[in-house]
Amino acid sequence: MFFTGLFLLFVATMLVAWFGTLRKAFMLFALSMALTGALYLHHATSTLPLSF
Amino acid sequence: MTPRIAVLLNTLGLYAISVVLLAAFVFQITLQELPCPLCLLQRVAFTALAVGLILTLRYGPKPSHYGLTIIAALAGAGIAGRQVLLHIQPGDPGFGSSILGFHFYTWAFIFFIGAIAACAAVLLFNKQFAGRDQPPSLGLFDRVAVWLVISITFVNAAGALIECGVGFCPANPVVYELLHRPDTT
Repeated sequence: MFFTGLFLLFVATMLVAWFGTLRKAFMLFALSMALTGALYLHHATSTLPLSF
Repeated sequence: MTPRIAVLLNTLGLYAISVVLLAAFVFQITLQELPCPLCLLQRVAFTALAVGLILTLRYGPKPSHYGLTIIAALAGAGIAGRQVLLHIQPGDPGFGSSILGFHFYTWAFIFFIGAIAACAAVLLFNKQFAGRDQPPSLGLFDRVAVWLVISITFVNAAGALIECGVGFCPANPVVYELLHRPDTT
């Protein structure tokens, strides 16, 4: 559901980039990337097997 | 580099993104391997790459459009890089099948770094930004590239719904949640 929403948000961003204004496209892109980051933080919970 | 050549390169970039997303979908179906959440996020990052390229086709080449592409590629490289690091220890079989010796997330990481390098290389040519502020004249080849990537993103939205259902995607998906009927016996 959340991935579907994210893909659809990027579809909307691309449609606005093609038909709409530059400003709206940039704002939608920022929103989409912020939600991508949030979804990444939700899923990236495994500990990396690394030691520095 | 003339604005027309810059637009052509952006069009080719859109086709490259479409090929990657289509290939991921074909491998998902033929190998019957469901993409994990990080794999889906890499697909999302591939679609994010397309936004800057579409803006270049619509409004002409601008440094800010390449900036968007670089931001999307950095995010994609970060996500793919994390998945590479998750499976970096010797003996770890990795997640899913590999193609030409690399797992899909490794190829994705290489692609995202390549996209950053390509943007940096194209940004070196100032002539594309000079001159008219009119939108470029586009041919069928350019328009098809835009609609192809939008259509494939829409198909990915449907695919994610079938795979994940209405909740969060499981960390290691094994069934298509929307098609799976739990045993009631």
